[in-house]
Amino acid sequence: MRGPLVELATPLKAWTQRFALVLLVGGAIGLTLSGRSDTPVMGELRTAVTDLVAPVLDVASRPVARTADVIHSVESLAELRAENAALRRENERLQHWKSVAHELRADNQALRRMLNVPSVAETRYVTARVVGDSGGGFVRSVLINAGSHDGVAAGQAARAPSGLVGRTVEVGRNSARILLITDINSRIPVVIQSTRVRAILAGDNTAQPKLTYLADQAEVEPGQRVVTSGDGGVFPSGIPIGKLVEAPESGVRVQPFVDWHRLEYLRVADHGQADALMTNAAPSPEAAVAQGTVR
Amino acid sequence: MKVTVWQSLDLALRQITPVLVTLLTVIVARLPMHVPHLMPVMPWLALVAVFYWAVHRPALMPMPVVFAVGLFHDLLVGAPVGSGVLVLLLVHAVIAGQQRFFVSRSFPVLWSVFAVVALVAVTAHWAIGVVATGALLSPKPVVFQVLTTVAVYPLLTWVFAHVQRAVLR
Repeated sequence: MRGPLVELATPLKAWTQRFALVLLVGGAIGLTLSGRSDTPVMGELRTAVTDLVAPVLDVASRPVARTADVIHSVESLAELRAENAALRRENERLQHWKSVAHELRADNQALRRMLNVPSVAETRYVTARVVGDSGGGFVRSVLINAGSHDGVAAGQAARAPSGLVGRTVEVGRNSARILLITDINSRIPVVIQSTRVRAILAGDNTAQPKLTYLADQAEVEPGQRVVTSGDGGVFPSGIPIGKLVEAPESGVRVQPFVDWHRLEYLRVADHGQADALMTNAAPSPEAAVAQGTVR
Repeated sequence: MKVTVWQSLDLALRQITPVLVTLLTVIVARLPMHVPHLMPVMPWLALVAVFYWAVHRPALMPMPVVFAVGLFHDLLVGAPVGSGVLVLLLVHAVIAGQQRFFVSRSFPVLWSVFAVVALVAVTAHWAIGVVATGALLSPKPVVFQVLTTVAVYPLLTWVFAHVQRAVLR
């Protein structure tokens, strides 16, 4: 009795396995194709997974960051004296700038009052720790351990002390994904600080994003500072981004100020106006992208 | 009676260890390492895990589970959903299909086989990504990711072998 059953079971098993493989591979191909349209279901699934893993990453990333800190401080021990002197000099310079800034702010406020300029929307910041990083060649994004529960919403600017890092794209309850300015899908309205020339900063997964939609007659020089323009109202204006660099073949590029491998704490800017503008049919690519992720 | 319940629980835990270890590699690869220029060429740890368990214990890593692991990977990385699923699934199918040939091979042979698998898998992953996103991504990270993944293979395999010996006997 057992003989024929086993004889039948072996090819049956092989057949089921082959069928399962075809079915699963078909499913994977279907997923890949459907992923192109980036359905809201995918976004929600992704948020759910990040929310689930964020606490684990949060705990696990602490010793890694601590180790990196220790290594870094041992390294800098050798240059302690030189660093100290440099900091002293910088401090003197900053003290001077601080008094200038105070004066300018008072001046600015007085002038605004005279001209009846409406006060600029207050920007609120949420500070969060970077707990995850996307590896591989596809995306440039990081995960932070703050979400809608802490007041983070999609489309907000995320910055490190040195400059703009990116913007929030998928926001869960206790986690959010930041699309870095170097990602291929990142488009940020920027302005060259000294000449007020406007452009769009477009990432392409390389370390130096490109400046696009730059006016033809615009004069650009390497070393000029690029900051957010605040166009579209989604981002606060004036967040430093980077310096212009010459790229002979691929146009004008920007070297970001942010030290990517030292990212630990980010501040997410709640500009207060993001929602209002994103519900309009705003032509800016930011708004279009962000709209897809807002529920 | 009580003993058998604990025994079956113990057995179940032991049996899902390969899956848990593989999920762990997906998460570990996401940790910010604070090493300059590492993240774009981060080794694909999950590929090593799927390869290892397909060679040594394919029964504990059935295809639907590989599918789920791939989905988890894609969602967490933010890669085009389905690309990692497809590549990991095919790697598992090819290796587990020839498991009898691979299981008794020496380490250098397996390492060489893995190098070829990694080259094909990372390239395929990149190609699917290009098709799925509709943007020509730079192939440069592919080359480096193959190298880092092949380089990390001995270390990960050593860890997996210890896990296998300790938990699965």
